[in-house]
Amino acid sequence: MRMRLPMPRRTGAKRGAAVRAVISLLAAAMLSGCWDRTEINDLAIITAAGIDLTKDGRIKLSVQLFVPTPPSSGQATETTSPSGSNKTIVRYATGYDMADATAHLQETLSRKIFWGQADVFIFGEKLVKRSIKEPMDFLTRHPHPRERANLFVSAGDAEEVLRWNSPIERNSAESLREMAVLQTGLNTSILQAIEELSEEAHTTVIPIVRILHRKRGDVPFIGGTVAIKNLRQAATLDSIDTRGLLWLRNEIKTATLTAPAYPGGGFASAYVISARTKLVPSIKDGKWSMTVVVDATSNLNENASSLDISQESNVKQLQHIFEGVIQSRIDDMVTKAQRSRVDFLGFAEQYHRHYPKQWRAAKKNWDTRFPKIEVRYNIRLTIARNGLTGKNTTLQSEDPS
Amino acid sequence: MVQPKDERTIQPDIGAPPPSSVENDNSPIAAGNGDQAQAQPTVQETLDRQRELLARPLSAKLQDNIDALRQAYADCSDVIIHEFDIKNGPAAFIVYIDGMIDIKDIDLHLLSMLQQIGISGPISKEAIVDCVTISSMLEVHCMQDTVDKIGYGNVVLFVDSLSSALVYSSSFQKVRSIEEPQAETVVRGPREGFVESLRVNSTLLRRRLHTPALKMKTLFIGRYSKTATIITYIEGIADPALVQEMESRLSVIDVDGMLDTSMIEEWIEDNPMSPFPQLMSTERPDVVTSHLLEGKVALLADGSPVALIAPAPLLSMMQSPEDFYQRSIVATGIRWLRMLFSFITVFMPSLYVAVLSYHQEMIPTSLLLTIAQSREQIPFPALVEALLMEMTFEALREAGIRLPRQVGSAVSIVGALVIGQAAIAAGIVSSPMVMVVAVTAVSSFLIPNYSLGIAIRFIRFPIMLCAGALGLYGIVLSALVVLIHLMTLRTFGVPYLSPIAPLQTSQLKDTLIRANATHMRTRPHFTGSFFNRIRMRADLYKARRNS
Repeated sequence: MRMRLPMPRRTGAKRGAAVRAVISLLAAAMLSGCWDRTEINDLAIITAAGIDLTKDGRIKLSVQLFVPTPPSSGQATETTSPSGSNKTIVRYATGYDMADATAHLQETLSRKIFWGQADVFIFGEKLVKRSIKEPMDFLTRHPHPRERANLFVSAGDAEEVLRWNSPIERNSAESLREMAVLQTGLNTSILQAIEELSEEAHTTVIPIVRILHRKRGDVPFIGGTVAIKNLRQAATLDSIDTRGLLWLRNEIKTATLTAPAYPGGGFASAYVISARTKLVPSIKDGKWSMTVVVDATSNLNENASSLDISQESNVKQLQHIFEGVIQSRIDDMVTKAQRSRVDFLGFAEQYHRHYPKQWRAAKKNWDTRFPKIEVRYNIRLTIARNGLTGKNTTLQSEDPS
Repeated sequence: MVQPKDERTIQPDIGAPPPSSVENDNSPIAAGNGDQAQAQPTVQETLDRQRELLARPLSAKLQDNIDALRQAYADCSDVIIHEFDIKNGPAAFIVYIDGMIDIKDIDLHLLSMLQQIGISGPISKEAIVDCVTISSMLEVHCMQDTVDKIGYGNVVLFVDSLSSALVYSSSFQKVRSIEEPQAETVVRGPREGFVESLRVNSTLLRRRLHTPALKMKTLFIGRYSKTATIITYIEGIADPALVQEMESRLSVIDVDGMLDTSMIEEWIEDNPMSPFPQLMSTERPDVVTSHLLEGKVALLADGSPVALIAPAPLLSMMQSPEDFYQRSIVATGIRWLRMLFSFITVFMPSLYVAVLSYHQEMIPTSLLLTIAQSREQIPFPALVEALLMEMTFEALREAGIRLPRQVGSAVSIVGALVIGQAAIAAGIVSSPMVMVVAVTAVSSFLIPNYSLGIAIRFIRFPIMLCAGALGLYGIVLSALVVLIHLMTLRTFGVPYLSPIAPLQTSQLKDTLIRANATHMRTRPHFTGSFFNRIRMRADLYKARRNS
């Protein structure tokens, strides 16, 4: 067995050297003074930012700042209004570009602007029509903004969306982010946008925030999509087309499909619980075509028709009808895309991957070739469960003749 | 002073450093005292006299021995020298220290026998031995041994015309009763703990290991205290080299007094500058027994209820005796919990400081907003806040241990206010910080070994400072420093982090997991080759299970 004897005692010279080293290190740490340390109390936490274009062509940066109001001291006065504790304010500044506007904004604030928690960036409509190059460059170059922050385009001024106070969530940024995560519309992050912009087609899609003006107050919602090409708006899609886009981009998480059970019959609905979409490009005899393969599983949600779904043939019939619904959703959107000649569907990337040689040749006149691509569909939907009732004898007493 | 200090060998030095050093130390004092030196003996004279007295062999003349002992025990009111005549025999006397022997025993078996029955025939040692009805007897020939025996609570019998003295052991000590150790309680398992008496402690071990292979080597440490220390191990399981190493490390200790095993620990550990304990301390005989069965060596000392176990890698100190008394799956889960929380103890306050001062973007938005709200009116930076609270907690903890029982409740109430609602309401600290301190405090007490727990609690302060200066980078740097230190540390030649670093896969059964008792078939391996590896035969058990 190898045993180690106790460590030899440090000699005086060695100890002196150690003490000197420690002192110099401590001095280095203590005297430098200028650390990066920033207390939370000194931060102006930006929760969302809106970027608009002013009339004279400058950038107007408006930020939603979190106002930390400390919880009321003392247990007796616990009746603080919830809106008071979640206060946000909106400040804005203009400048030649984002950095300039930020610098001007800092002049009006007592705390250091902190981008690290900004989850939502909203581009104003006018800015998107001109170019989003400046904000995108700032957001990607600056180390603080999150790459996973959500991007939106507002119908109207971005500032208006920021000023809206959410009654449910902490602030409008949180509200928008949650809505995007729900996947009823697109959910585009900065990272995703940069990736798509750097792909072959140089396009990306950003969801639109609209504000529904009601008597009781405004309600923002995500409705529609802006397709970006060459860093400016190239096409817009409405909500329904956006759903089609989601199907095509394999971003559908849940969806409810509703259609008449058979021509002229009552409605039936299916709730899609899982869906997978694949784009399969093919070039045959110089003819370019794209097959959209959709594989979806759904539960039958509602069946107001008199179709007896305990019979397999009827289930198959329903499946077929829902397949048609999906196809028409996608197809409407594809037709619009082809008409606008902007390939935001990701077709270019598919051809680039599968047919690199042909792609290189066809790359230059892709804008003219894209509208001519034939899109085929191969959709398969399975109704996995038909619900708790099966054939509902109480509600569907009459035998369909 | 490297001499074999066995019970039966003569230890010629008395309680004083060697003469050379004494001269250097004391000559100026002696010179300075001047004329007083004639009236009172100098230190050197006193020591010389003591040394001369104790170096004497025992005389055959009774009076010489009495004189020598009276001189040695001058001004010792508790030493009793009792002279008497043996019936039909010579004069004799006994020496003992009042209170350290069972006087009834001596009266009955020694004095009454010698005085009433007496001896017949010629005066010889055998005749005396035959007469006295006490079994435990030793013979000493010199003064040094005599006073050692007297000091340990024996009765020494001197008989005229015999040149040796007879030592009868009738030691009787008032000791604390055997109780459950307060610092290491278990829900299921034995509740016995060591006490301050070495003999009781060795009995507790012997009662668990009824085998002659359980060895207990005694040696005495301390010139004045003469603390009896036992090296105990199981012959055939413990590596002889380990026992030898322990003996050699103990033999170089030359101090005036040794009050507790923790002082021995400082003398024999590999790296005295490390904050981490390199010997395991326990008050539980069952823990000592289980480690002895794993081939380790334990150390018991008189006057100390704490046994030392060596070698003690870090992970063995993360084990609680309860681990082995509960079901293995549960014990494994608790062990994981314990490790998780020891990491929390070390890093949680530092992480809080680092993230809040440097990396605000790392916190989930809603959490940051909540923290920002609660910190809004706090005047201090996060680092100061954390240090303030952690130090307050440590102070309260320390006060809680030292306090007299009567004021304990008062302090705990005040403490709860200091680290709690009052501190938040006063706007001194934020509520998340209180939360962090509370979690850290609770988690630090999950570490079963108290000295390891203190070490871990201690190192979080420098880490906190690093976090305050350099953020997460500082935490990683300081964690690396701690890790490197742990990896260089050795306990009796065994790497401190074994069997994880260096990795010994066969021994992981009792580290991160606690395998079922029937699966722990081999003993842990320390250094060198395996000494005695197999600890059980599971064939019959397996046969029964398979039938």
